[in-house]
Amino acid sequence: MITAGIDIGSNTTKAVLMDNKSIIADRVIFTGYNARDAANEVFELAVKDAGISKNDIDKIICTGYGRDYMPEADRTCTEITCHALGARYTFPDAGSVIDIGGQDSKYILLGADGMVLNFIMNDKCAAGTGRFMEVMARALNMDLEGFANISLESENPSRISSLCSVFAESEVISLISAGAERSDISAGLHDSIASRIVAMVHRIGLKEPVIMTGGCAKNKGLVKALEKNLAIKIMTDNKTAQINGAIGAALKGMGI
Amino acid sequence: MTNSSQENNTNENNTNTKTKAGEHLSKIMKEFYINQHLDAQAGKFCVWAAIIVPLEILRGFDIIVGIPENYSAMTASKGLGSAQCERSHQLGFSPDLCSYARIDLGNNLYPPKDAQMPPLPRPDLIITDNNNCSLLAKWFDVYHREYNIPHFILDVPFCYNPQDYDGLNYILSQYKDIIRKIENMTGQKYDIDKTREAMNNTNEALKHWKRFMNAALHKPAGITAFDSFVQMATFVTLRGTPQIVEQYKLLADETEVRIAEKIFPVPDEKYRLLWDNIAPWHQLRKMSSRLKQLDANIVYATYTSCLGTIEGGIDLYEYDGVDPLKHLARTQNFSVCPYGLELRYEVIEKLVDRCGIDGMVFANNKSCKVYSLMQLDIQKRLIDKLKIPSIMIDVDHADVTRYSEEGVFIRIEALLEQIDRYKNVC
Repeated sequence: MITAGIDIGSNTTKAVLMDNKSIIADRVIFTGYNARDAANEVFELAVKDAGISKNDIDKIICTGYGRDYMPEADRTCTEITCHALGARYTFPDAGSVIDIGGQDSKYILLGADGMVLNFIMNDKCAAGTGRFMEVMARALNMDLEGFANISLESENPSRISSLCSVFAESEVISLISAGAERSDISAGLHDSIASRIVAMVHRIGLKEPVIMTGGCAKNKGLVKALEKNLAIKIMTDNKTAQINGAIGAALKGMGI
Repeated sequence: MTNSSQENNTNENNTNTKTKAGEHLSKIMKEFYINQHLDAQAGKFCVWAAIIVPLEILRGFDIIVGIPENYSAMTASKGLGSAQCERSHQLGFSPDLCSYARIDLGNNLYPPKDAQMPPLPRPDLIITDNNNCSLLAKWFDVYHREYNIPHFILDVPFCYNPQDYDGLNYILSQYKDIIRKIENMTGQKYDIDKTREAMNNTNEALKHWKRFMNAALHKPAGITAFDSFVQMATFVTLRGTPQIVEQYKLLADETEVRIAEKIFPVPDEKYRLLWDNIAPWHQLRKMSSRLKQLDANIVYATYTSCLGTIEGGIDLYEYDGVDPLKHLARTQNFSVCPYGLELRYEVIEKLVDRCGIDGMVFANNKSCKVYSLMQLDIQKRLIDKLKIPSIMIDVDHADVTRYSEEGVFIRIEALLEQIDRYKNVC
């Protein structure tokens, strides 16, 4: 049985094709202005990569904020359920999931069989999201990867007290003016975002092993900041982190 | 806590025609508000009362009883809440205050020239309580200062445990002070027989109310919690009057007939949910419609199940016909808010069991800290003890600017998916 999982996020749109639980193709593109076009494009690219035709696909499941934008989909599923399923696929003993996406962050507690026991989302405030990272990297005149990596060099992270991304940017500008090291500012920003996630985790309870998914899981600085703030080891898989929701959607198509 | 408006017509059957009870509710609420103004023009004494103040006592006088909280809920349900909140901000009131208070303050102290709804008649006396809302006394103190009128605050002990003898007598003594105060201000003699008659009316009406609420036990449910939200309007404004008996009898009778005729608000009901908090007045129609599309029904709510109960209970605490003041004092804590964690959880546990609940929606209400404060602890206990999935959503009962429909519905859809997996796995 071949299924397609399409995760239409605010920043990127992801497609995963699975043949009996094995990934046969995956693609990530920017969502851009038109989520429907992005969904169709990423789907077609993945189909081409897999060397199959659309007719070979038994089920298409959409998830993410734009999950209702693909008329060809057989059904939709929330990203909460999909991230839970995806995390258990990659890490069968996963206890919980931290997912930091472009415009929200969430923490999901898992039960037996990948069941969602409880979850908490921040979708009201940009601080604690991938968007925050992008804005802060820009304030430091760096690309995202450079912004993440330089934080690892810091021995004395700056203290970013503002919890608002707009005011945090002002704080960063003040720190630059005061001559603070870029690595210290970057590390401070990573600590700031980590502290928000940690508050969410403790609100409904820490359960190990903690898996981190979403595009921000590729950010080594953020993973380190979270590990420091939670005092635990966090599991990530660079290959599947960003497509984790789409994996879950494809699994959902198999009736899992 | 509060009620609803006649305009909030989720009280429709599934052919989208208004029910007889819905039409009758509109009629009596319209008359209620018009009559208040006519009585005020005739020079009648006017009391503004908080909704938990026993209206049956006030029925012992020939006076107007205005209910500002109902007025605010009605304003919100007409989609006018945020504009009125904004007017209170312009007067300097904080946006962090309860939206009922902001609507009411904006409406009374800075009324729009082209007001679609005239303010309540100006009061001569204010009576509030402190057991269901910590803000209420401060909110009405504004009018106490602005209008230079007395403000009686009914001081009710918080309930960590069921009410005790001293608590009952403390409340009773204050009822007597209220009666004396109104006698002195109006020159009228209090008539306890009118209160007794009012108590009989309320008791009779609440029997019909429970009959109506029992329609939620049917599978599929004969009602939604939204129906009960709307119909609460009669309880908070016309308690103790013959109109409430007539309204709730009509409501219960009609609901039972609809069940017999297999007319259900969510015909393909797959998920039965329980709601915890005040109704989101600005979303009743939208939310109930979207839930119906998902085959989900919020069948019951702690907010409307509590009418006529005592601490921790979900059944009617019946009036024995003897001492109406003592009965009112005993049921003074009927609303959910003045309960400690154990009593709050007890109510939810009973409702989950009785109503066959699949999942719970905790509405974290930005405007009601008292109702929302314990929800996280209750939710954790619910998951651990009853293995019932639940979600926490952010709402505001009357200010739509603090509500995100998509944010709420992604959580609701995730809850339904959780329920599916619970049913498959457990």
